[in-house]
Amino acid sequence: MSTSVAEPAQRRQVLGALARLQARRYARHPVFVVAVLLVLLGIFQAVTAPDADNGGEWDATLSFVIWLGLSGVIVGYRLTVTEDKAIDLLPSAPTNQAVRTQALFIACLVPVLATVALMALYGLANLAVPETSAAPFHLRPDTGEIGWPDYLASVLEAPVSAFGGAALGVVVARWARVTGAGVLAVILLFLVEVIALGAGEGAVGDALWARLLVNLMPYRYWAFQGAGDGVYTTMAPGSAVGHIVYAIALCGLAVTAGILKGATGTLRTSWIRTGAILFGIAAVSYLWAVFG
Amino acid sequence: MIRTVHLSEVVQHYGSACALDAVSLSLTPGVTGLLGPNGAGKTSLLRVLATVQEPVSGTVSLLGLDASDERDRTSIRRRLGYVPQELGFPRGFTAFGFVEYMAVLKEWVDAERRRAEVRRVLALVGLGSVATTKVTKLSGGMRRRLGLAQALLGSPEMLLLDEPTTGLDPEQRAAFRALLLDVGRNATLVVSTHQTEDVAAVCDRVVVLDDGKAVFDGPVPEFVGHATGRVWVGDAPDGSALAHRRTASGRYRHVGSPPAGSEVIAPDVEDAYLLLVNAAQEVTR
Amino acid sequence: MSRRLTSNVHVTLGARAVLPWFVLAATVWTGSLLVDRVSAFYSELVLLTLGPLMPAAGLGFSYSPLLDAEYELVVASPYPTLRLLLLRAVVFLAATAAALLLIGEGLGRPGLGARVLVCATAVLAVGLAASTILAPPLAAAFVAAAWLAVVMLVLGMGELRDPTDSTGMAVAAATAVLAAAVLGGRRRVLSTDWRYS
Repeated sequence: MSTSVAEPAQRRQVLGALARLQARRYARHPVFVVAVLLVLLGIFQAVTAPDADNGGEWDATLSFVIWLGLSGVIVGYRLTVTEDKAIDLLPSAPTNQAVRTQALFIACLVPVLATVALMALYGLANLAVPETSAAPFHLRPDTGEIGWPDYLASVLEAPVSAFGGAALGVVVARWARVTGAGVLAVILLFLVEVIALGAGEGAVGDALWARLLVNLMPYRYWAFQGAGDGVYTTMAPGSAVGHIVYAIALCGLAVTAGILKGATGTLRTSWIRTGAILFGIAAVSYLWAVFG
Repeated sequence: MIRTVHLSEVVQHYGSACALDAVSLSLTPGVTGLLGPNGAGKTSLLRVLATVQEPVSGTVSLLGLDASDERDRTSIRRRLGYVPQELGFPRGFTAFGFVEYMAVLKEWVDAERRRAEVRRVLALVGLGSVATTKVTKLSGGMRRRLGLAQALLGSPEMLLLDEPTTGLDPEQRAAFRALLLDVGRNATLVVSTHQTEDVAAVCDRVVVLDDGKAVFDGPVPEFVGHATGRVWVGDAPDGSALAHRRTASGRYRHVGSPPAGSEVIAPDVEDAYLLLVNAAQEVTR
Repeated sequence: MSRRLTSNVHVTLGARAVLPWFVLAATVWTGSLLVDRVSAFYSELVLLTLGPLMPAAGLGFSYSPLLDAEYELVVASPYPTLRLLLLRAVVFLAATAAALLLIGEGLGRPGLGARVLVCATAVLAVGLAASTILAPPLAAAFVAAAWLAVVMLVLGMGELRDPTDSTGMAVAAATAVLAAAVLGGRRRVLSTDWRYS
């Protein structure tokens, strides 16, 4: 018997090693790199824009969500699909699909870290540019119009969406392995978000159905135009704190769905239980977001 | 001798097609060749041995463990290496990166030891100089060797190879056989192949599958011995033979019942295989 | 006759690409109309962002060895690869043109559909030219990213500038002409399998 076989390792160690490998693949993926560059371009544009009262027309949180969140769907999908090219071989390894999927979800923290770093850069750039009078990310907690919890929750929408987008890509790859599924998922998500945001912001913004729809979305935009004055200084109706809890619960449900695919036995049972709890949290926090 | 592989009445179906029909096998350390026509069930058998597929019925015991038990299955997978017939490679990996990825999946968590092991197996298959080359840039033969490299991680006790010499040139095939002989001293190797020369050169025993059934299971000399007195040569193809093939000298080598006065010669593995498979098909007809 | 027609369609379109492309395109067109029910601004934004990408996406899908199992055989055949590429591009552009014009009518802004079509033609032309340097699916991804960057830059210039105003149209037309010239100049590259160049 060979002495060079590794000792049966703690599952956590294998998960850590695999997650680091997948994180490197994520960070080097050309779609992610291009998305980061586009965000940097957007930050540069927003900070140097002549119409600086609102930090430029392009709200930075929206920029992060669009580029890092939506591109994450593609990257998550591609990382999962390309790994499974060796599908005839992978089941013969002692590390099962559930662990491999968990590693992919841990790698989805890469866009979160990138989002946080870029948001910090944008915040600092705003401070450094004296002409910019608006707070970063549009809303003004210091004017007393909204509280700090709601402000922070609205800012957190971006990093949570970064994770959510990538996690959605992994889930789509696990459950819907058809040509173009990743691209289709991005476009569907984009369209549904645009419809909901449009409903929430327009003339029908105060209608209950619009509030129900817009808060159902994994990402929502909280700066409200109010009175059509073209300046975003009002908080949209609802609770930003409630919505961020809802968005985090949705991320948890995505992780659950991804790991459940192919899971058997006690693993399957425990994740179903986790999914049920997360669903409950999502339902309660959704109502909080709508009526809070 | 310790039985590393024991299959009992294993059945495998794909829809209405029966891939394995109550196959029973016992294998010990050494090299076993798996022969059979296309669709005989060789790949299905290897997939069952690799614990990639669970049979519909029957018992599978590998390395003293029960392959139907989840914990035992994971333990088996820690001690086996597998090269499937069609091995896809994840995009964007170099040769080193791919083998390292498989090493992580095989629980090599210490980075230093893992990289040393990856370098070792790449050198073993002669790919040390192309470790940093993207897999997509490697030739077909190099990719097959890369597949073998990942299977050799951790010097497994059981090695399952599905048509490993496909795409290799004669020199590479000779080197591959030498490697298999070396590995087979301490492990149980099962090699599925269409190349009877591989069986002759490397294998201690041979299993012949036909239509999902094991029609022969025994030492190679015994397999070849069944064809003794059943092989003859002639200057033209003989219609009475079960099968014939042209040799390098331009003469024809036949298997079956030699006519009176024909030049009978000593059989080889291919003769024995052709005799067995064609005789079985004759019976079926 | 019908068998010949089928095989011509298969060769012309890389038929396996048609269904995924159609699902994608139908989603975008339907989405634009649905968004218009809640916001005219956002529906124009959707059409502007995604509309010009549809023909290039079709090209990327249809000229991919991953989807087209006969890809290598097609390249090795006497059928000119440039002709095949252009044929497929024209088919996807024609389908997109019809959809864009109808959607423009549906949104009550017929000129918008035509202006987006000009941008789509420019994006497709750049994609075709880029196919002489990159693999067609990669070229499609590259032009998609480039277009999205252009939209972001123009919208971010303040006062929501329209990428399809007269300046934008002139730039799009010039880009299409330049890309066509590049494609014409580098067309010999397309006669071999890009995977081995």
